[in-house]
Order: sequence, then structure tokens, then C-alpha cells
Amino acid sequence: MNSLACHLMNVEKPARYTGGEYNAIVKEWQGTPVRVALAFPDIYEVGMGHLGSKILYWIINQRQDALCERVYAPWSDMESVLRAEGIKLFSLESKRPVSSFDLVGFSLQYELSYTNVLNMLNLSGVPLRSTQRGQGQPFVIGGGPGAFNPEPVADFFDLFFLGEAEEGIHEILDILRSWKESGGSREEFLLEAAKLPGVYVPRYYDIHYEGPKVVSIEPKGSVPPKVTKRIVFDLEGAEFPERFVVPYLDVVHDRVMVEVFRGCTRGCRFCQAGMIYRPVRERTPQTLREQVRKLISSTGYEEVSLTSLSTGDYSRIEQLVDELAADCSPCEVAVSLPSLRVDSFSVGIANRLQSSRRTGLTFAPEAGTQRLRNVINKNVTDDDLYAAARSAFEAGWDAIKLYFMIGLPTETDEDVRGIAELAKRVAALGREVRGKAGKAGRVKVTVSTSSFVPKAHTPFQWDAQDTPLELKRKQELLRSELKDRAITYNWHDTQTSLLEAVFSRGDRRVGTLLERAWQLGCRFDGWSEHFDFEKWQRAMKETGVFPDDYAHRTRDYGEILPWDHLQPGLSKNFLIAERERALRGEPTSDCREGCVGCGVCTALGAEMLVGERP
Amino acid sequence: MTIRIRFGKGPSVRFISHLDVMRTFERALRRAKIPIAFSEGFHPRPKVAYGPPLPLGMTSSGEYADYEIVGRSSPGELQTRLNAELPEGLRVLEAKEMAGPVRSLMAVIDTALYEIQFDGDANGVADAAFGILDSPILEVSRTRNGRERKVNIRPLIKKLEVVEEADASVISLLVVTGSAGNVRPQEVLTFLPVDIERARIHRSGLFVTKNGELISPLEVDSL
Repeated sequence: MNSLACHLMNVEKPARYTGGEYNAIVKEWQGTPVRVALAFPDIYEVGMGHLGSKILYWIINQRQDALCERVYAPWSDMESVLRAEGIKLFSLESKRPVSSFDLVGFSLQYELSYTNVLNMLNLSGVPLRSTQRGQGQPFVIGGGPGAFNPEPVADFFDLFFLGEAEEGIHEILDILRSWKESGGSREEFLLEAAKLPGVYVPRYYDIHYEGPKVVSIEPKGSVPPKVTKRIVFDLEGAEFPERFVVPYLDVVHDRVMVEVFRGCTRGCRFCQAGMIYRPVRERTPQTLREQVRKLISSTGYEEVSLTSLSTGDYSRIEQLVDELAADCSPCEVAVSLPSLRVDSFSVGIANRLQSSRRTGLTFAPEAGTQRLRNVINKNVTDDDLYAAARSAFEAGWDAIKLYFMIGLPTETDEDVRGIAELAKRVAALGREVRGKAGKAGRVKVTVSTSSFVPKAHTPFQWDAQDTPLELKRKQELLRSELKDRAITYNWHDTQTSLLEAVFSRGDRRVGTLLERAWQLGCRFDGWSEHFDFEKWQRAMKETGVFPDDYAHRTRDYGEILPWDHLQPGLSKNFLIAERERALRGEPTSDCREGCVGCGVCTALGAEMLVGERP
Repeated sequence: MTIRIRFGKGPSVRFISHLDVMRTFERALRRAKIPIAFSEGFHPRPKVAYGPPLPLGMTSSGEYADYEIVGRSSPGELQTRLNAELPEGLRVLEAKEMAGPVRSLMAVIDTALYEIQFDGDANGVADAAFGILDSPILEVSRTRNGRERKVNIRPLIKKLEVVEEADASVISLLVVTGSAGNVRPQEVLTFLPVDIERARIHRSGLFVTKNGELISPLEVDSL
């Protein structure tokens, strides 16, 4: 650290690398048998906002026999310092090299962070490929949504964990500890780990290809032919942090977060989270209030956020919001909701929360016409949106943000123009309502479009993505239709969407493209100041891995998909039926209203837990 | 009531910016359940105020903050409770109740004292220091809004001496700060044979000039 200290003056925000935050847990290194580094492949300010990492950090450090420390991707200025000075990437707590830990866990939250995974391994002096790692080197494990199709990064990981790790992490650490004490070989640990439900050790699965297709996935030896995800059956009993590390820097989601439920019942057909995190399991208001009370008092935060995939769907949302508002208001703590359903009920809830006053309200109709919303199963009507917008303007909001996706399966130019229609009508509504208060001029509607990326384990997993050229044309079309002083239009870069599509449905061969792109200097691909598509194109040419095979090819139902051996519990027949319904424009109901037969509860032996407990 | 504190910033937090230190104190005050007064209005803000920012990378034992407390508390209690909730490296060293309304720290503080530890030839540095004090003009260039301009910092240096201690040599530097002008210690070091990157700069005090005397911000009278 000493040689590092004088260099820290020359990097942006050196507090990204110095640790020592309130509630950080620094355990005695020598006396602790099992050591875990939790790595997040993005900068500190992004990684520190991730709730899953906070949960694991807490759970691992609660164990007497284990310690857990954090590490984030160094920004390019720090990477230069580390490389120039020959300093290995180190953890924030004990400032020890990542390579000295027993287990290094990466959170795979988005595809564009994958080059950072390779870079962090390399900066740690850990060989990139699982098969190159030897005795005394850490095991590299991956988790998060990326683990549901980890094939593009499979060669760089020793193992993956599918699903919720609150319980499984204990099982992994238990066998890691005994293995360490027994002095066994790496292979012995991996074979033992592969027996644990939810653990996937990619080296024990041989993949065979013909052209762009996978033709067989063969498990070797005694490993299970399919790995099924793990869940916590009842969140009421799940471990949850009583303390969060309180960062010095201004990080994303810098507040208390509690998780009101997991899973989502809506069944939007493009949404991977809505598919892979089933079934819905709620926490009770009593438990949530207790968690908030403890965390507010242990962190000193001034805001609490109620997180989930769709918090407006929480069965006792009004009760919870009122109780928390009463608990929190004497101490000037604000309650916030991350996302709103498109209806006036949700606007009513938001209106009660003083924190949401600060910014505009955000709604996500996702598609511009009823036809296309039926295709994607976004069960929102034009009238729902207008009613929600009207309530918001009447309650005094001036700014509304609308999120849409372009490039969805079956989309036509009419659907794209539909986005403009909706936005213009919302703006007109705003001028009408706010005009009564003499504030028509303040109305602002922001339209943001992301580009559809087909994801594994969704009904659209077989579908092709629009080419960047086609996406650009649609963005341009929308831009030309959105000529209104009150409307701002933001869109996503089409080339990054293309890479997302390659990695979200890639097979193991895509790993060579990733490695080459990293060698050529690709890092932080989700950051526009770093993203360099020319380098990616060069890597594609050199490796022969082209995006067309992965992003733009429609696959048929009979084809073996690279992630077929990895099971979130959904039956393939359900996904096929959902895609067929999509093509016919038939919506599917919310599973709270009756089972839709996705197969998850049966496969996992789980049940939906919603509402009052008996 | 207004309580003024002096606090220190140790080596482990020297890379934390002024803004981040302020936020850290606000959260520590909440954890310590110290009832800070809030401003009126639509966006209530806690009534807290800090002295001149300490530049990134320096340690200090002479930083100041004012807290307006609702109801009664004692400075001793605030110090104890706040110290129990602050992360390692930040410490309240003194606390004092100010009698009546006071002028803000930013308005009254006009002098800063730095102690700079360096490796190397103390005699050479001492000789160079004499040279500095003898010269009427010491020009440094500063860039602001992309424009470079020359500033004479000599009038802002009040005292400069080299003290040899058992394990290291220390430059003691007293400079003007605040509305009358500012000097960064590194600017003075450019005139001395010192490795600036390796020098450890510590701010040991901020002062208010009263009747030609330097007094602690804790000792100033109310308005």
C-alpha cells in the first residue's frame, strides 16, 4: 500500500480503492480458515449499489470460520497505476491480493461487464482459464442472472451458482473448508461442489457443435445432466443484513434497501428476471419494518427504498407504505419506490411519498401499440397510461418519463409510430391539466427506448434481434415523429445492444471473442467513454466469432440451446406455448389470478407466497 | 444551541473528499441520534456548516464544524456520542458550545498551519526556505477555467521553518487562507528540494486573526 499511496493522488476518486468505510468488516486473516473475495465487475460506485452482494457479504462474514472482502473493477487510471507499479489487484478490507483468497465470486449482472471480469482476473494474477489454474490459486465462482447462461464465460470460471445463494453459500463454504483441511486436489473440490444442488461446474459438460448450433451437451462422469436453480422457499426465514457498509463516495442506490418480494407474476415475455426468479415470495410488512428500523439505525441513511421487480404489486403495499411513513417521518427519513406500475393506484402511492416529489415519475409501457403490448404480454392499455399520467399531472408532477423497447418481435413501423402517439398524447394531457395551474409550459415528457435483447429462458429466446442498422432506422423514425417542444428522446447505442445479444445467448465459443476483445483493450463496455466497437469488430474478424450466428438467427424449437442443461424450473413447453401465444397476440394472465403452468413451483417444490400468512 | 467542534482526519481517510466527509458526519450524527436542527421549507436541510475544505490526500488535526442542535445537549456528550459512530480516522477532538449566534467558520478563518514531513536533506531545505522568505516575489501558475495565470504567493506566506525531529524533518508552514487568498502547500514545496509526491502534509490548525493574534475558532466570541 505504501508505494500505492503516492499514486492515489493521481487517480480519480481514490476513495474507490481505500476501503475503511463504516460497517466494513475486517476480520483476522490468519485465524480465519475460509476466505472469500466478492468481486463486482464494475466500478465501486456501481458495485456498492448491488443488494445481492450486500446480502452475501453479511452472510459470509456472520460465519466464525469465514471472511468476506470486497473488490471492484479499477477505473482505467487505476489500472495503469497497478500495471505500471506491478501491484496486484487487492481487496478493500485487508488490502490483500485477490489471488490470496480461497474463493473469488463474481456477480454477473449484465453482459457488458464481462470484459471487466477477465481484466480483474488478469490484474489479480489469476490465470484466465479454469484449466490453467493450479494448486494454491483461488476458485472462481459466478452468480447472478448471467449464471443462467454462463456459457460465453464458462471457460474462465471454475463453477457457477444458479439462483438464490443464501443457503447454498453455506454448503459451498462447508465443503471448501473440509477440502482445504484435507489438502485435496482442485479436481476433488470441484467434483464435490458439482454434487451440490444449484452448482454448475462447466468443465464437466462437453458441448458439441455443428455450424452455429449446439448439437449435444454431455455430462461427464457422475455430475447431474441438468442443474436446477436454488431458491429460498420462504423469505421470512432468509438471512438479511442488519448493517450495510456506508460508503464515503456518492454511489448508486446509496440508501437502505429492503426487498419486499422476489419474483414477478406479470409474465412479460421479454423479461428474463420475470422468468428466472419465479415464484413470487413476499416478505411480511412486520419483517420489512423491522429490517428498515435496524438498517436506518445502523447506517444513518436518510432514505429507504422498497425494492423488487414490481413493488406496486406487493399485496400489502398501502399498509407498508403508511406504516413506514409513520415510522420514518419523525427522523426525516424518506421512503421511495424504484418502479411504478402504469396505473393511477401507483401514482397515488407515490404521491404519499415525499421523496418521489424530487424527480419525475417513470412509467414503462414498453411498446407503443396495444397489439404489440399483447405480443409481449405487457398488460397495460393506452387508457391505463393516460389515467396514470392524468393522476400524476393532477397531483402536481410536471415531468414524466416513459420507457419503451424497440425491435421487439413482430414490431412494425406502426408500432414505432405508436410510441410517438402515446408520448404526444401524454404531453397534451399534461399541458391540459397543468395548464389549469398556469404551468403548461413546465410539462416535460422524456421518452427512452432501449433495444430488445432476446434473453435465455424467456419465450423470446428463439427470436432474432433486429440488426443495428434496422434499430437505427427505427430510432430515426421515432425521432422524426417526436417533434414536440415538451418531449425529449433518449435512445440506446445499437452496437452495445448487439453485443448484449451475442453474450446473452452465446455458447462457449463466444469466450474466445471475449478474450480477444479484452486483449485488444476492451473494458467497461457499458460506459460510452470506453466502448470501442472497432476493437470488437477486429476481435470478431480474428476469432471468426460473428454476431449474426448468435444475435440475428431465429432458432427453432427443436434446436438444443446452449443453456438447456441449466434450469430455472420453467418447462420448455410453457415457453413454447407463450411464444406461440405471443405470435397470435394473446395475453396471458398474471399468475396471482390463477396458475399459468410455467412449471416452476412443481420443478422446485416451491409455492407462491403472497398476502396474509395463515 | 450551536456546538462547534474541532476534528481530525487520519491517514486512513485522507483520500476522502470534503463533500464525502460532510456526508459521513451527517450519517454519524443520525446514528448517534444527535438532534440536528433542520431548515424550514420544501427541502429541509440540516443546519450544519464546515470550515475551509481540506485538500485531498492530507491529514489534519485542525478541522472545524458547527452543528445547530435542537433542545439541550452538552458538547462533551456530543463528542462522545459522535466519536462512537464515526469511522476510523475521523475523530472529534474538541467540542464547545458557542454563546449566541456566531459568524460562519468560512467567514472568520483566515490562516492555516501545515506540517510537512519529508525525506531528505533538512539543511538544504532550510537554506532554500530562507531564500524563499528573502525573495519579494514567488510566482506560481494556476489554471482556472482552462486559462493559466501567474500568482505571487509570497505575501500569503506568514511563516516557514524547518524543524528537525527524531525520525523525520518537518516543514512548518503558516499561510493565509480564505477570502484574502489561498496557498496550496504543494505550491510552496515547488521552491524547495523536496519530493512533493512523497511528502506527507498535515494541517495542524486553522486560525482566526484577532488584534494581530492567532486564536482558535473555538475561542472566538459571538457576533
